[in-house]
Amino acid sequence: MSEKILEVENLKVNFLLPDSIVYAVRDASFDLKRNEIMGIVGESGSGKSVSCLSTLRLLPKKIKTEGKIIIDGHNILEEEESWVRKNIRGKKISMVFQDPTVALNPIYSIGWQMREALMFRKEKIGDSKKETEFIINILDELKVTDPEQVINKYPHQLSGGMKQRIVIAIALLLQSDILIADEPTTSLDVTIQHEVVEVITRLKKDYEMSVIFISHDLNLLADYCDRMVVMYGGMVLEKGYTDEVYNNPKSPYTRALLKCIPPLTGNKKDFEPIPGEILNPRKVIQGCPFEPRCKKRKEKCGKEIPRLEKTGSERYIRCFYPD
Amino acid sequence: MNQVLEDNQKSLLSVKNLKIYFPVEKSFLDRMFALGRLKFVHAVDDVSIELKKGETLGIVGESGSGKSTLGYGILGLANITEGSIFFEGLKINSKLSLKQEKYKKNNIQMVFQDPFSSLNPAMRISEVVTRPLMVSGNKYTRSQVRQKLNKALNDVGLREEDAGKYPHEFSGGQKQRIAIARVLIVDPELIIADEITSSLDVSIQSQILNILIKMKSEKLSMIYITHDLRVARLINDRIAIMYMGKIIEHGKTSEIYSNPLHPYTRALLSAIPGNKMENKIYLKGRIPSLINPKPGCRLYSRCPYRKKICKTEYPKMVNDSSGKHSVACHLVKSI
Repeated sequence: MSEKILEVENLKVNFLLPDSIVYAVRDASFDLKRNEIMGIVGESGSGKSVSCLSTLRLLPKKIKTEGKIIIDGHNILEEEESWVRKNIRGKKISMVFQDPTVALNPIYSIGWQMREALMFRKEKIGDSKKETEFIINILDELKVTDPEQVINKYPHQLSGGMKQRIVIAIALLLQSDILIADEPTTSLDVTIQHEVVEVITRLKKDYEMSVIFISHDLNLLADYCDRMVVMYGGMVLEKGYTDEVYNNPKSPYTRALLKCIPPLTGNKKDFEPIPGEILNPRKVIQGCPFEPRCKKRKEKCGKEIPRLEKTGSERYIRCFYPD
Repeated sequence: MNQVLEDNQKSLLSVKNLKIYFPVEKSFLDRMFALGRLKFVHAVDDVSIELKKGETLGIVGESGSGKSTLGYGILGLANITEGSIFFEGLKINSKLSLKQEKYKKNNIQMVFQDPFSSLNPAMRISEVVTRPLMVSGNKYTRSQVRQKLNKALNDVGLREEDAGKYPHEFSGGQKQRIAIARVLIVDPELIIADEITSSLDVSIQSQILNILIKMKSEKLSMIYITHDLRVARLINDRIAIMYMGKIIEHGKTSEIYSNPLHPYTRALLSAIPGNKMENKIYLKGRIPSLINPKPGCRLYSRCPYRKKICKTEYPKMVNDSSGKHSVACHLVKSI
């Protein structure tokens, strides 16, 4: 549990557009340990998705990156494309995206697509009959009903929840060490969401994978993750063990985020909206990204960018005046 | 012909046994080959709801529950197969006089889920927001229009200067405010909101919800359609839970959340991340087809408590004595 298998150090990602620069990730540092589920929570423009896409180098060409992403002693940002393709994508790291409809090819059957993925697996299965057996087994583990029928179906014939399980199955059968799930349940109904997340956490144990779970839903992450990273405006504002971050948040942003989610129990008057607009990723900032909207802001907050400081075991805060 | 029914005058909106079925076989040839066994999607299947003036009613359900179709049906944007919709005592799903038609259109307004596609990109905000006034059939002076425009913009937290801009100059949350302003400007009796915060970031959603809370305090009557049980609890006086075209439980919000009776309602609440409730239940299996559904309770195939009768007979709605809680489940004989 305590060994780090992925380290992101002071990552910066700028998209270079013809007339402007998009500061997608302004400063992100986090790490993933073996066998843990780590959650990254953030709203639009927080940099959560781009940070994780960077680990797979799945970004457009016109970008400028700084910092390090370290796996097995290699800085992924400095390696050749061919190396990344050979060693990282689908090997060390596999990814599940938000919309399963877009991730699956509409003109090929489910079975065909899963067999295609098997070609990239570390341990090849070889035998066609054994491959089919393997695919049916893994679908079964994901509680897909009638897997023998499903493998002959096409994506459009399946529900969203089904499709997402298949995409997860494909990611799992690749035997990667790391699974990055980017909002995998956002497009699903809440009852299906629960099932799919249960599946991910159960199989993470069986397959000994480490998972990065990206979501805008703090409560969802708090239910399943060992540690959490809170991002806003391209920066990590707070991170630590889930228990601590969720029950005793120190960043005014994390606190505000918790308060602006309508409560299921208790006093409705505890609900407090966060004013202002989400930070524009094109804006150059001199201070804390959350400053314009922060209840506790002081003069220093707009003039200087606070650093991510360690305040305890695995606990880091980026704020001049933490709670 | 008198279309006003006295017992419906107390309600602002009264929907009675509404059915909206969509045909699967659409072409003549398809219908011919069906040999009499035509298939229909039972999108809304015998739904009855009441809304009093100044009340907010939440229609809650997952995808395929029929909640949006119900909203469209009330608005007249979907063909009613069977049933009646009464607005202030007037049956609106029937032939209306020009005057009645005009009254209905001006007083039942809708805000949609996607702020990007609901605003005409070629129109300035001033045009977008005042358009309902222009097509209302009522006459307004220029200064009246200006006044109403500014009030509507202020009510949603936008500035008068924003009126000269185009939709693309605004963020998603701001666009949704514009859509709300456009509805408020005609001062409608009833507003139907269909998942209006689902596509927004959490912090922006909280701002829109705040606008709705303010509107509620000004006694606005609203039907709020959503899948999000947290949002539904915050702004609704009463909640109706839909599953496969039917309302399976409804009542006062506090009642439903503190004492959910229907297994589906309990499963829905159990599945919400961060819900610290006891005795959570989880449903197995998939939603069966909405096409010509089997008789009996719609939840039969997935319900952990199902009995024989649940398969063959659809449960009647049971009401508690004060009218604050109703549920349709064979396991609940009385409340």
